[in-house]
Amino acid sequence: MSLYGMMRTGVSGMNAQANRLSTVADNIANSGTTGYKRSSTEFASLVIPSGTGNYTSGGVNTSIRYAISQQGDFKYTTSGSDLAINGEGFFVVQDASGRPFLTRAGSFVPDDQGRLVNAAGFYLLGYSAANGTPSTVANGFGGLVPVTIAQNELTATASKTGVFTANLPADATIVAAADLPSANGATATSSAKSSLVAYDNLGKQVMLDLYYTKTADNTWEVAVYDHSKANSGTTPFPYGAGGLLGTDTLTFDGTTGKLDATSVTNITFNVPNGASLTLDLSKMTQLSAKYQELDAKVDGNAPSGIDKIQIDADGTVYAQYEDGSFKELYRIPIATVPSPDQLTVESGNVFSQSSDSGAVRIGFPGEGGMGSVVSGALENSNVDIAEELTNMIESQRSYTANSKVFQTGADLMDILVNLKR
Amino acid sequence: MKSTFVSTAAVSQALRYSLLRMQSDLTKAAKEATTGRVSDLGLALGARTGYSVSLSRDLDRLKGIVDTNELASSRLSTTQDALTQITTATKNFMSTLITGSSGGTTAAVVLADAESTLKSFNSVLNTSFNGEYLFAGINTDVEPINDFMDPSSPNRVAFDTAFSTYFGFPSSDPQAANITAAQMDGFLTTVVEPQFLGAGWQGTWSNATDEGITSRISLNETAETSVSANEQGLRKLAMAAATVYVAYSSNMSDAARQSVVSHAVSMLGETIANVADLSAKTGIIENRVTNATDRIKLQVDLFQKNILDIEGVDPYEAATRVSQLQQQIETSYALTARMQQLSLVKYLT
Amino acid sequence: MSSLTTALAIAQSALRTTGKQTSIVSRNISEAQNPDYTRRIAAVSSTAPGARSISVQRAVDALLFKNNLNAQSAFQAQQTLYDGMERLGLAVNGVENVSSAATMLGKLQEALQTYSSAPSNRNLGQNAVEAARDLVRSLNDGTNAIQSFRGDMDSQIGIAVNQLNDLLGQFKDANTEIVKGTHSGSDVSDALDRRDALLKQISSLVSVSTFTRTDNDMVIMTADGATLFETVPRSVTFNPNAIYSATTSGNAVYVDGVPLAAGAGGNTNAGGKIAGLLQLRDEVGGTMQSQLDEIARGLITAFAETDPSGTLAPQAGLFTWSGGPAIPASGTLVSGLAGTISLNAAFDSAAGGDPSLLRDGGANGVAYKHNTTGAASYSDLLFSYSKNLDAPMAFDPAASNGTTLSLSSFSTNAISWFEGMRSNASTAADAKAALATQTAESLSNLTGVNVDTEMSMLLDLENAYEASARIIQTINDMLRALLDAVR
Repeated sequence: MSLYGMMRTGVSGMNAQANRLSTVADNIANSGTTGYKRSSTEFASLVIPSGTGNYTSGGVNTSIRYAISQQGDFKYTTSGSDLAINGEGFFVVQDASGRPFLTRAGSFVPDDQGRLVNAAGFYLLGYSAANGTPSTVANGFGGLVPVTIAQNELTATASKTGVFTANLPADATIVAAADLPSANGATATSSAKSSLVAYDNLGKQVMLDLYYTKTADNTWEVAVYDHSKANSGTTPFPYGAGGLLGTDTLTFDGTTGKLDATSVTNITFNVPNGASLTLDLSKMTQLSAKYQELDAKVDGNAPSGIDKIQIDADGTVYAQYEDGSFKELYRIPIATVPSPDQLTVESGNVFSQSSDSGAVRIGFPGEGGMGSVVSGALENSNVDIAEELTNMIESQRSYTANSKVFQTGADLMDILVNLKR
Repeated sequence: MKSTFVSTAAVSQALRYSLLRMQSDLTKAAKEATTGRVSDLGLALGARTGYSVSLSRDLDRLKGIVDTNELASSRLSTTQDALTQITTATKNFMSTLITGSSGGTTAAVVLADAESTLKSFNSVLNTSFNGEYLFAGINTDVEPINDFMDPSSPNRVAFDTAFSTYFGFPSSDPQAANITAAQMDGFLTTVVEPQFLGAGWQGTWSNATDEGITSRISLNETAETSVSANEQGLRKLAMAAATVYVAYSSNMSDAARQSVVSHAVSMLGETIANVADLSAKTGIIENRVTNATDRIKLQVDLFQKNILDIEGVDPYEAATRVSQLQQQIETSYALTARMQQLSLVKYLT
Repeated sequence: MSSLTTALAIAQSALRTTGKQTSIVSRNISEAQNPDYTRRIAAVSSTAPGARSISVQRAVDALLFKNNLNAQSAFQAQQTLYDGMERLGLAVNGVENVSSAATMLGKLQEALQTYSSAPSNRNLGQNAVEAARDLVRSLNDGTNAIQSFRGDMDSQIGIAVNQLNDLLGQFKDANTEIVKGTHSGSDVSDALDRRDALLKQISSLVSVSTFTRTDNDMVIMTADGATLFETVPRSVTFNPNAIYSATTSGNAVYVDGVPLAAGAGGNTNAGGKIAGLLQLRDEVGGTMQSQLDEIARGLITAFAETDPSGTLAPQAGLFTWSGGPAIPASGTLVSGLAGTISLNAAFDSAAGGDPSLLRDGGANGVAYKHNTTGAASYSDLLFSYSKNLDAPMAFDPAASNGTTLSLSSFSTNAISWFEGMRSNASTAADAKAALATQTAESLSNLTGVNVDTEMSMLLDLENAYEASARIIQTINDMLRALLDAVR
């Protein structure tokens, strides 16, 4: 119980309000910063034990809080590498020295080496899909590499599987054995022909000629030829050496028009300079209608450069090639901690793990309570100007009030000192 | 009620397409209204077009036959005319002879008549028509009858030779006065008759063929439309006139002349009957040709009617169609203009 | 979190959405008259709070589109056939068949009739020979017209095949763009429009069927099942033939090594221009030529000179040919005869011949003389010629115009055959045009733009924009009030 005590309490109040004003200033300054999380001050009273007859004024303790777990509004952009997280979690990034951080500032652009880097200079980390579909390392940053796009310049995949479905005309005339396409004679005739594009090991397009020929009722021969070996005249027969890639016999059920249970359902052959290709023929029919191809698809793709990068909601980073095909390059994980608001805030809108926040847990977007990745959007700061202004006014008044308390104490001290004249 | 979405393009396209159709229909209808025939025969008739072509082709052929029948008809009537002249000449000559034999006329008159009969016989049978000798059979480019008056013509030479051979002297010889009637009779029956009525005729008197001109008088009917100078009646007239002429131009006895005249009169009688027969035959053919022509004309009318049925259009109907289409097109124009006005944009400020 | 800032962000996003929608509406309006344009619909969906995303959808009806493609290709083939036949008919038979062999034959018959009525008239004989010359000219010119027509068709096929290859190349570009775009979820509407437009053009050349694989990847086949496009275009090959004669048979069009079938019949079963052109070149041109050839053969036979004693074989008379003086075998087509038939010089006074041989016979020597006496009005031989033209004779079934009938009927039947087919083609073309127009109209109704609808949507958008702007202004006022409070 003293005037000094009261003056100290006023000073402590002023300090507290100064702290609060500092957070307001920071918040307003960063109200447009992507991924910025609002800071706020919480006060706690400091009580000094006093007797019943007197009161010893205490003070106020300031603690700083961050609204890290509060999601900001999305701002939509036109860049596919601008990322935001809808829901809980953080991107895992690292600084130039390789130290990992968490962040929600997802304004990534490729740097000179193709690494995705955000405005504050942090590199996005992800699991590489080079060795198959990646899985997470749940409790650490192990296995994460910077997401780099430029190195996957050209890629090619050999064809391995395919589907071919068509209706073969049941009324076709039967072709004599000597004239079958498999005999590869100059007089070879087929009941129907289609062609398909497949890819060899180097991604070169290989045109496959498929001949379907009725050899007897409900029995069809299928022969696959390499189109590049075709005779240059009006009829492609006879093909050059090695032209015939495979041949097989399909038998149909005369009542249902579908493949007989005993029939082969696929044909397997080696694509020249390529892999072994299995063509699924199980849905072929033989009805009394004209020849009609109903489905045809062969996997694989030709070598081509990356046209653009696409990032899915589940964090998968695809490279889209010029020929339209896709390849999974990385998977971006999302990290979270038990208490996100307790993370240590560092410069550049990044957060690091602190003893209070709990250990980092890593998972894929959309799994186990993790948010999903939104491509083409950025998360605004979660600062509300109106609220900050209100806080500022409030702090200002409060500061003024505290200064009045101090001034009153000082005035009283004056009076006290002037008692002795 | 179901209201469906209508696109702006479809609205204007639909009008445009129907307008195009109407305009092309209009040109067709206008053509049909003015010509009275369908505008495109092939499209209107399809597989029956050949029938129409064949009809108009047959029509032209029939019209051609009508023309050529006209020619045949005039030839036949000219022939008929000539035959009448022959009959007249025969009758005149016969009456002269009959009067002469009964002493009514002088020998000089008989001779003159025989000469004129021969001349008219020649000139009538050598009539040419349309550049063809009427009585030449099919050998129409050669005069059918040689001139007996010309001493060097083959018929005269043949006759004179036969006379000299039979009697031992020519007819102009004074010995001719000694020829008896019996001798003359013998000469006429054994020498002269074969020469005129038998194979001797052709080559001496006549250059004509027995076969006459055949004409197609309808699509599938032919007829002989000429009379040959080789007809027996004509030969007999020639024989009568020639023998009388020779007998009266020499100094034969009256008895011998009398024998010639009596022979001649009987020949002329047969000639009149035969020529009348020929005339009747010609008349029948003339009639056939006329009938054929009439038939063909009927056919032509029928064909024309058929063609009209196939190719023609009702001009009234076509004209109505034209005015209807005009009206429709005008309506369509008006509608187009209205619909172009009909837009929400006009009402937005 | 809801606050003024959020409200501001929502209003901002609303402005963006409205802007995007407006751009779609304005695009729709600008393309209202483009038949290949498909109306875009802006599908708006709310995602995160305050955020709305717009996806562009196209108004499509795959079935109707397919119907329209089929109708288009059927119509194209039919129209091609009809136009070609009209041209060919005019070139060979003339307007209303005036220069047709049938008409010329009638003229010859008429001239013979006139001549037989006055055989002594040399002028009439000359006249009959002139009629024969006109007939020969009609056959010769007809052959030339048919063959040059076939050559034209051939070069048009060549052009159409090049066009098709070109279109398939463009199709590949559009298809690749679509596959890429579809996978990445970007707006591929323009590429789809372009691909549909290309498909329409392709189907006007050949009749096609299609199916789509994953990622909107389209495969095109011809109606016969030959592959036209699968990932890459297949080559369509054709070896054009510049010069055609009656014995030339044109080359086939190969699609991926499979020959393309030509159409058949007046109401043709062909789809696409190329099949129609093939039909014109082979079926129509070929049959018409063989009919002319048979008429020529019939003429040579009908006017052949016979030996009156019957010992010597008949020999070519008024009409002769490259194989003369022998006459062609009975009932057997001689290809190109109509092009080589000629007037026998022995009858032609212009070539030093004598027209009266027609009356007398004997162009092949005295043994063949009928009028042995040289009578000027001999008409039997002339009658026999006329009779021959109306007497039944044997014709080759290859000319598809009857086998036992008179030459005169054969010639008119040939016209019937042609005009019957042309008339069928015309009726079918009208029907197919109506179907094509109707499906195009239905398709346009389903996928096209109605400017009025778009305009009313624009009004809605204008209101929405105004409201959003008002919100922003209000928030601004509120913040200003707050800032004014800070002194």
